[in-house]
Amino acid sequence: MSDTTLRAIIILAAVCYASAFVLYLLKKTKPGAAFWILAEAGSVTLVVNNFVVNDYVPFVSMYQVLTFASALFGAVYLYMAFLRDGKWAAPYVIGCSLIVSMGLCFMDIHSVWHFPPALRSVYFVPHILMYVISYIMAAAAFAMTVTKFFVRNDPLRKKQLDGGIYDCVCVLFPFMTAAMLCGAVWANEVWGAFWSWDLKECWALVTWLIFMTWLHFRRSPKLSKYCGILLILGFASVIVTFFFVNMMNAAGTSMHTYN
Amino acid sequence: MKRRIYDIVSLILLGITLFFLALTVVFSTGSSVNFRGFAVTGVLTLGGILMAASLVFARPSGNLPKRIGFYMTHGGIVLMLAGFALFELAGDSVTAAVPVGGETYYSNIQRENGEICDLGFHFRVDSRQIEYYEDGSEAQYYAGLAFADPVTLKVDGEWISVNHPVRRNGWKIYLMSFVYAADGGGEHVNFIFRRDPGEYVVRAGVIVLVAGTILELLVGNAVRPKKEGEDHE
Repeated sequence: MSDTTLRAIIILAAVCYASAFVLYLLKKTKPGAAFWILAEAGSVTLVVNNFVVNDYVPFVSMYQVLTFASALFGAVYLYMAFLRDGKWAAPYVIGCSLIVSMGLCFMDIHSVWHFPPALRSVYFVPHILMYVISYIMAAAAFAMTVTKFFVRNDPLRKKQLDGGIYDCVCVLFPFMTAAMLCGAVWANEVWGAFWSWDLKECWALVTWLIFMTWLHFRRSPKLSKYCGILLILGFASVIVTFFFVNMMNAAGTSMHTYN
Repeated sequence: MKRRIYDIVSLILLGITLFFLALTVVFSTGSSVNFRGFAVTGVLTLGGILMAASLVFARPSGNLPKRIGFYMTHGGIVLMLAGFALFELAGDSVTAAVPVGGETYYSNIQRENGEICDLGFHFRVDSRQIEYYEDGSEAQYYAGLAFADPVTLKVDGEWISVNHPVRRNGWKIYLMSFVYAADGGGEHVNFIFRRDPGEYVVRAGVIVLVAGTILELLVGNAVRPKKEGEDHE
């Protein structure tokens, strides 16, 4: 596909996500769902194109990972709607997809990049895939948590959001644990140590600890009121780990920097 | 009382989290932080005690997958910490730059502090190869190792590459990179030699922990509560 076609698909998908988001907020779910399906079709087309271009999994650049994440939010909704009775979660999931797809509009879509020797491992795909799943669940949980602060006077809505956040974290945490430990086992094969206290590893551990603390706090009647703050802190940590670690001062010495 | 102990444990967990967050923020600014020192003294002891105490004293509630998952998650962490502790107590790690080619077999490696580490086997690097992508960027490093038995004089060869360490005599050998000696001493291969008696304990802990989180949170949460209005947990 030409660059112009790809750009057009990215922009159209973003416009469709935005339309679906607005329509769902206006309770017009049928036209909203139609726009959402169109947007998902666009995202899936981009993922397939990335797969064809790479002749490998589409995870070789930030653009490709975010394209995959944008498409995967649809699967999050299917999980929430059909396994957790969470059809109400649609606007939150679409909102997350919209933000990611808007970001894609400004990203470099070219990925002429090859795996260095350290990345050529069977652990690469599960490590990235599980982290993407956990991060998009964190985004959905974050969107619900922020909303919860605005519906304090609506106990039914608050309870619904509470259940949704818990459902998201129940998926997020096993995937985040598996992704982090898969990375540790991989590091033991490539660098000779499970853990090297690299900057990216430190942020990944902090993120995991925050969500583990969230799970413990949620079970306590006294401490559960602080769960919202913890989840926002956890999502902020996700953003730092995913986007900002490579820009930080110490990243020059990071073993996770490959450019 | 039980609830109060649970709250205290949760607050200690929050303390550990915020402590690591603070250290990581400091580290992110470019300052040097001895994470390993903190982890060995703090996490291995305090974390290990907390997890072991949870296993012994806590009585998890909820359905069967949740209860089994609880023991597996906490037990998995204990196993992993025990594996890390085993390396700290009885493990060893040494790096070496070994010249490519030549007739000499090496069995002693000099550490950075000048001490000699006897590997217990004899080896040399016979050759090295680099695999390239079409655009000329490096795809994989290979080194051909020869191991000699000083008693039987039997020699056997083995290829090593990045991501594919070789095991020999309790040591795991990792190929890190190729370098040219600055003094014109020819090409060298950088290796890490690591003896980790806790490796399989950590791996077992990883499997138990991951399986535990799946049981406790995914499977346990998938089982619907029987009564209307009952919480997920």
